[in-house]
Amino acid sequence: MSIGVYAARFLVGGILVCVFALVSEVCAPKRFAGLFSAAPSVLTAGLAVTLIAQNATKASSTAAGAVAGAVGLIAYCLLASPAIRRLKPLHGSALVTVGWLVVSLGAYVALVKVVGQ
Amino acid sequence: MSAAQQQRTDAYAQPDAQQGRIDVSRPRIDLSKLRKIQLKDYAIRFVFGGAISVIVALIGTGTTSRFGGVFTAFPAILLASLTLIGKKDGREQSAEDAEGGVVGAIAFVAAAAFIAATVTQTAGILSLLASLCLWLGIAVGFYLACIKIGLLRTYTADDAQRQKGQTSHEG
Repeated sequence: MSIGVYAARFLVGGILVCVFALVSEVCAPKRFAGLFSAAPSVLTAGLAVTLIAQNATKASSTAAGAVAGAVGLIAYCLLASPAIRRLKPLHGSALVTVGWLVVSLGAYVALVKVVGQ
Repeated sequence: MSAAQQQRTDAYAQPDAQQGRIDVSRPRIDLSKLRKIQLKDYAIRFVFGGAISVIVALIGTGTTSRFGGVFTAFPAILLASLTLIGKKDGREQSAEDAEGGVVGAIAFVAAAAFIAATVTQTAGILSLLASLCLWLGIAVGFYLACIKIGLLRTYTADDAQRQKGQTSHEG
């Protein structure tokens, strides 16, 4: 992959994340705004560049992996809420990233077992 | 209640005709918040978003596309958002944002599965756009369903006032 493709990923990823953050900012209450914090912004940005620079088969594989990551994201959000209330927002949300990793990798292993390599 | 307090309550409240009380858990859009946007916060999000997109691509190149895909749902952006909200609006608001994130993440699973199934069958960009519509529909629909069946708490204007008071004490 060329430097230009990486630069495009950086640019599109940054822009999409900011767009979803803006939508989240104008939404109320915070619980509803939180929907947009877990939007598939990085996935969409990455796949848009993949479709232009590479091919649809690669995009399909990436999206399949994202299913496992998103299962981990559900666990992350479930754990983050009580962790933030007990600890500080930075400490609570950073600590439960371990939970995301464990659940995501578990879901990935299960996915590979179900659909094969 | 003072005029300023009344004005704040009105800004939060929407009448719930069926229950005869003020419900503030209903989704709404407040464009006046755009005036309070800090460019520094968005610069942080831009760098986070750009960096994680490149890291995902590097992982995918070093391993497989599918394994790299796992990291497209890495909660780096959520972590940045929760921390920024915690600093600006307080711990409770940050925790609530994470609770809403659960609903968004459930819709994320459906959107990613939809792309995986359709991107090779149709025009790729069409699949991406349809997946975003699907994500939005499921997320908003599920949020409203959760409010209706009581999985997410319904707030009254009094709760909102109390919470605002707590936040100002924390700050």
